[in-house]
Amino acid sequence: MDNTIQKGADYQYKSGMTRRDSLKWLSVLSASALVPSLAACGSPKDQTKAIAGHWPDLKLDKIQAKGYGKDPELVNADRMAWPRTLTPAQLTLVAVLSDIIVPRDGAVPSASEVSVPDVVDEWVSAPYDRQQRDRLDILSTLAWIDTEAETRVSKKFA
Amino acid sequence: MKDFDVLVVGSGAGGAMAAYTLTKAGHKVLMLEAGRDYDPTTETPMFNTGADAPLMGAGTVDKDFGFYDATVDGGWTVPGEPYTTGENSEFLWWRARMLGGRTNHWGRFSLRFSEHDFKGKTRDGLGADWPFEYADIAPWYDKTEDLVGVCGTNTGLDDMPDSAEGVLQPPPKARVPELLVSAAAKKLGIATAPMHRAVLTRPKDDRQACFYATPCGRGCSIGAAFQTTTSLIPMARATGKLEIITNAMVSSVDADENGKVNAVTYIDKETQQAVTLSARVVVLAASACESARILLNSKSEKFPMGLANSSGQVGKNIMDSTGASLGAQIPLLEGRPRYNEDGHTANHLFIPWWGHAQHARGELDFPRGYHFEIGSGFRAPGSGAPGNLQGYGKEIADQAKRQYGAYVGLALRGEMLPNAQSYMEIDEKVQDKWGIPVAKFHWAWSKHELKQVEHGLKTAKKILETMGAKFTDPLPSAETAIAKGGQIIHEVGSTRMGASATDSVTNQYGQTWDCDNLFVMDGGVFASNPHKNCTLTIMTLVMRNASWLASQLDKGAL
Ligand SMILES: Cc1cc2nc3c(=O)[nH]c(=O)nc-3n(C[C@H](O)[C@H](O)[C@H](O)COP(=O)(O)OP(=O)(O)OC[C@H]3O[C@@H](n4cnc5c(N)ncnc54)[C@H](O)[C@@H]3O)c2cc1C
Ligand code: SF4
Repeated sequence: MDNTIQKGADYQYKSGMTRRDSLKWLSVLSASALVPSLAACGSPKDQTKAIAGHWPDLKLDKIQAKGYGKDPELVNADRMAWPRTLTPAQLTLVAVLSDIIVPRDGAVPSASEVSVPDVVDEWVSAPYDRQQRDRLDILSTLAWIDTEAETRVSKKFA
Repeated sequence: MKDFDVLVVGSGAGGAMAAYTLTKAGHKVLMLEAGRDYDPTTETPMFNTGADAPLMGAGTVDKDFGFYDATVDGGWTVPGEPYTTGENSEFLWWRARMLGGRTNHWGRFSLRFSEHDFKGKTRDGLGADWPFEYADIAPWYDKTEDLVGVCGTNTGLDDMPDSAEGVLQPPPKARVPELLVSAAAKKLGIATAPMHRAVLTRPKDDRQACFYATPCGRGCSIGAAFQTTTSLIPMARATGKLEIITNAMVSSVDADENGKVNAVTYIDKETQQAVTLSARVVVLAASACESARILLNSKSEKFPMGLANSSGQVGKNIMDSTGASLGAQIPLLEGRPRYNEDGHTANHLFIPWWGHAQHARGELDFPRGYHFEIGSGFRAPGSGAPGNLQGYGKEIADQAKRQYGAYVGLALRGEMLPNAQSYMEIDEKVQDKWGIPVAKFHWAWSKHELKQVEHGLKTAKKILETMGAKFTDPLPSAETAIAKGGQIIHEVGSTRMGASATDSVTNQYGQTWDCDNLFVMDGGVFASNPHKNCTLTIMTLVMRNASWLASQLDKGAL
């Protein structure tokens, strides 16, 4: 698997990425203007203003897959009971964001190193009510961040 | 298939104890169980981590208490088997459709009722007394605790009757946060005690001792946490006198014109066919509300209101435990050294009801007591981030680490009194997928429960504040804090026992007043519902009453 990261926007999350890979792109990322600008919009007042500007009004199709049912195999659980729905771009954005929240700290791996984006994908793709509500929130947030990044630095976030 | 003495419906706490007691006494038993066969030795995900489960093991409508919870084909909903509720009534009904029923995943809290509990009406005029004394049942508690395997200690507290010497197994050591609760409660004049749990801390029969590492709600393949599928059912089978038919959903019990029960009809879930078996003696132990449902659905010319219902009490008097909880982050516990605090999953210490003297002095504005279960300790993380985490990067990681294991929750479990608004009937308009009319529940809490919960929340707050917790929000009202009817899963009373045929369904042996060869052996027979989790008493009553039934069979009296 080639996870070589070039400076710029072509980093792509792939599950099972190595520590070296994610360190590389994280350094790329923190060198960019995005992290400080995210910190700068931390005050709730700013956030409301920005959100009010262009909070996406997503119309999502209902997830049609079935759940795992009332008597699933427990000892060897099927982790792929429903298909995943995030696009590579969305997965990458989740990876970047989750590594901002939980970056590697010494020997403790970062969020993407322990496949958090895959878990988020499993979560938002699940056919249950709670996850479907979270799906709308999460996908809206991802879309908002991209538009916000575009307006600020004329570039998609990731 | 006529070669049996007693037909038992259900394989949970009640049914399995009935089958065990009867087969040990030499009688042949046929057991009908609505759920599928279940083998904890191969099916329990003891060591799987959250990361191995869909959604990190989070609960869903398919698996309400988390992916790994042992419940099969049930939970708050059972597909194709709905129930309905009356106007303005909310009632939650937890069911399991598997061999062993809800014993595969119950909390295993096992506290004895006392003379005080059995005679509440004599004391305060409310509810109903039980038709026997504590002294009649104490030896049966000893035998049941010994067979089931209960850890705990004799405390001498007025709310906790002692077990006979040598019956209880040693309890595990208290956890650090529990010791802090204990110190805070003591300051307020409230004692803590080791929780009694149906968990082996020493090996017994073919069952091993707890190794303090895996969540008991998934089931316990080594048999340390009591469930009938690793104990009573295999032991009864070993006598060669128990036969079990699974996937057999009983729809009715038939009686002849003399009031003698003579047959049971069930739906074979595999073929969808109704099967009728003649039977000499029938024991219903399908769980309190299922047994009442079967009786109410067993109508005939002789029994137009349902079988064994000449008193009109079948389905009435349903009681759950009250429930409410309050918790807080305790700064004193933050950042303490890490060590394994798994223990036997549940609380090692709890707070028994301390208010007997206050009640006697008339100082309390609610009639019946409660206890607190303590939730605390370092636990395996689940799918959610606990606490109120803010920020990102190292800052948030440090917060999470500091806060880990420093949250303490107090869960109230209290006695509810029966009331005329809380009952079940048959909804004639709705049938389940087997064509059986479903239960319809009605529910209301009375001021007794609300006042009790109000007192409990204030007390919990005092204890937590004494431990250093700070509360900014005011306490919720009792109406919003109290759990929904059925939510604590201690529903009992739907076929209550009593001293007279006019106001109860069975006598003290669970024998229905109307049909002498029909018995109820589950929580339906409870005359009251003391705050001390019902199942130990269900099993104790069944051991006693099935022994009495065996003696009647031996005498040829039935
Ligand atoms: C999560 C949880 C935690 C709990 N914690 C505690 C605790 O700590 N302490 C405590 O005392 N209690 C606790 N309980 C309650 C305890 O599980 C029940 O009181 C106990 O299991 C009741 O035993 P039972 O035999 O009446 O019913 P069940 O155990 O429910 O067994 C009834 C069986 O009958 C079968 N059945 C139902 N209808 C039919 C039919 N029509 N035909 C044939 N078979 C039928 C069912 O499939 C089931 O297998 C808890 C319950 C839950 C769910
Ligand atoms: S903690 Fe002990 S009793 Fe509970 S499941 Fe694990 S081994 Fe069994």
